[in-house]
Amino acid sequence: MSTTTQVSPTHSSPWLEPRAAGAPEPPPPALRVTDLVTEFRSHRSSLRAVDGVSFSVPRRQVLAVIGESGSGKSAMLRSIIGINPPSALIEGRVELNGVDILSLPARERRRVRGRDISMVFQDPLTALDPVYTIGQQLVETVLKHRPGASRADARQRSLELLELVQIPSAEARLRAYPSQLSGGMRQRVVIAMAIAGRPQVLLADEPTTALDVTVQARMIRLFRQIQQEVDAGLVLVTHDLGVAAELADEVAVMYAGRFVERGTAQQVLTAPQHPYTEGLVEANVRAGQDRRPRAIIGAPPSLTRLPAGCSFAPRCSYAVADCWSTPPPVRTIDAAGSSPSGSSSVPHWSRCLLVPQQ
Amino acid sequence: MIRLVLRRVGLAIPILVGVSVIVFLLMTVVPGSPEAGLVPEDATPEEREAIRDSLGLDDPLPLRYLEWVGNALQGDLGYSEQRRREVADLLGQAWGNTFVLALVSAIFGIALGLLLGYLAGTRRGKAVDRLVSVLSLGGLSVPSFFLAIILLAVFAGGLQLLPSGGADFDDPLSAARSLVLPVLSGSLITMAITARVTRAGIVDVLGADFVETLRAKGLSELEVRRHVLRNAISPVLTTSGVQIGALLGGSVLVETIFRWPGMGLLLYNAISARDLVVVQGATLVIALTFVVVNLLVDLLQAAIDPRVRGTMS
Repeated sequence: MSTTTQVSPTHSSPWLEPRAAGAPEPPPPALRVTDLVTEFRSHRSSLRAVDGVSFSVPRRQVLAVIGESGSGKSAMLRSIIGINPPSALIEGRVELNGVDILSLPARERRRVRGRDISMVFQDPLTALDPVYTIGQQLVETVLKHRPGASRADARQRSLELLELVQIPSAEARLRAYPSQLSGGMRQRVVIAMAIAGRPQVLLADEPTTALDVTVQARMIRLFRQIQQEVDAGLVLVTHDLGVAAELADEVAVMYAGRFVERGTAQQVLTAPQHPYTEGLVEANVRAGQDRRPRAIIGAPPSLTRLPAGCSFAPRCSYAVADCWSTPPPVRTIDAAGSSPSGSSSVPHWSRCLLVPQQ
Repeated sequence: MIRLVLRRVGLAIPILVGVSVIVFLLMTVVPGSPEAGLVPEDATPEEREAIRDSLGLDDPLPLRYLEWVGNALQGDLGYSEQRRREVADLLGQAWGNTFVLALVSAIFGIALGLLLGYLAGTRRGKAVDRLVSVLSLGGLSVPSFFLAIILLAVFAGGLQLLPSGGADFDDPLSAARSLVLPVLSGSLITMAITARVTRAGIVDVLGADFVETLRAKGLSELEVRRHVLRNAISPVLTTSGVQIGALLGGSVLVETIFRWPGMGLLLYNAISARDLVVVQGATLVIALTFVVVNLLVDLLQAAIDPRVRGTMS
């Protein structure tokens, strides 16, 4: 296979080539998503699960996407890696190191999948094939992305991967079937499988939700460590604000298929500007808090019948008449209040009419 | 795995003992006396008694059972006075013929069923799926003897393409030609059941979470389906086991219609002629076949699916 499209910095990216003169331009982010739209069409209706989402994640950075169930978070991840059902229509650009993988032919796109971009799923109990051993599934993954490697090499590499995710007695685990491991151990295997190709982008769909609470904290630390080790950008979908606060550099809030607020974790979680984010933060339960958590009234809107104006207006306690009729503008928040610490240059913004204009 | 094999074989023994007791008792409770066909109509009570005595028919039941089992274990299933042959000989020959028919029917039916079920399951809701659904429903609804008669009328009667029955095993080509119609009518149900179970399994597994993981790993659709098939195959094996067992027992209707000299035809003739020793022997052999086939299928399943291994041991 000589026609492989290698989406890794050493081969296709012009940015890392030695330059003759001039200041080096910054490398493109590991992942850049532009105007991503995911539409599910049936003969009766169409439904926009993801409605024009744009963001980018540099290597070693973590973007947490928070929001209620049904806000389009999972559909977004599946569109990015390309495993939505065939009924999904996907538009926009998904660039890995500057290469738009949505425009690649199916074969080459598949080669990118699992190697340059990979995904960790929510439920480790069902994420592994029950009739193959851990070793068989790992070796298969390794061989997939290193076609030249021998079976013994792949086995050795699988062993290293298991050790990397801190699975004790890895040698024996290779011969085990998924049903013989605990949930936490299985999630480690799923993570090991996700990093087998040394991806530059990791996607994680609520990776700790299905786990025992006592295991969650350890898993989050492991996640951070692994991501730094393989030098990948991480997009983490979660509805656990604690996880977002601990892991994320930046936080994006998703509602009805769109980002409604975006900023550093600090900005978004401590000084939320969008009423929906405020609701999420107030609904959150934290140890030692003296106030009662407050739920957001109502339920997410049906994506087949969105209101004309702001999709959150029906549930918003601040909503004014204009909110119902005009689509809300994106407004940047004055940086004076929040410290410009951290490497992120992304401004804090909110898609809300009520945020004062600058 | 070796322990598992021993366990399963151990479990099969009480089943066989139970089957042999039932087969033995059935023959003692059927109306009419076993010697009725052996003595002349005008025999005196003394003559009847002499025959009964020589056959050991007046011994206590447990003793007769033990004697019967003991003989059976040594391959002696009795002597058919009507056919003037050892029952074991009759059964051996018939079983061989049925085995040929059953093997070809099973391979044909299961292979075709797997293929159709796979196509339907992976193209759910498409035209292929609907076609297979109609075919398998038809296959389940049409009785095999009805299909057999239609096939006979068309291919043997009208078109004169294939023999209408019997089999000449000395000539392979002729034997193969006479296999076609019995196989078609005998394997239809196997095909239909296999197709339905395969389709259901594949649809079920395709919806499983781990399929997403496989796709996210970058596996091709073909590689994903290899995983899916191995996960979906377990129930197919179970039903196949039952089907092969039934086919090996010999289809009485199909074998009778096509005059195929197998277990089914033998059993049919024996029942009609009240040849109880043959009925007894045939029932025992059919039961034994069932137990062995299902044992093999269970072990095959355990080899393929670790979850089955867990529940068995």
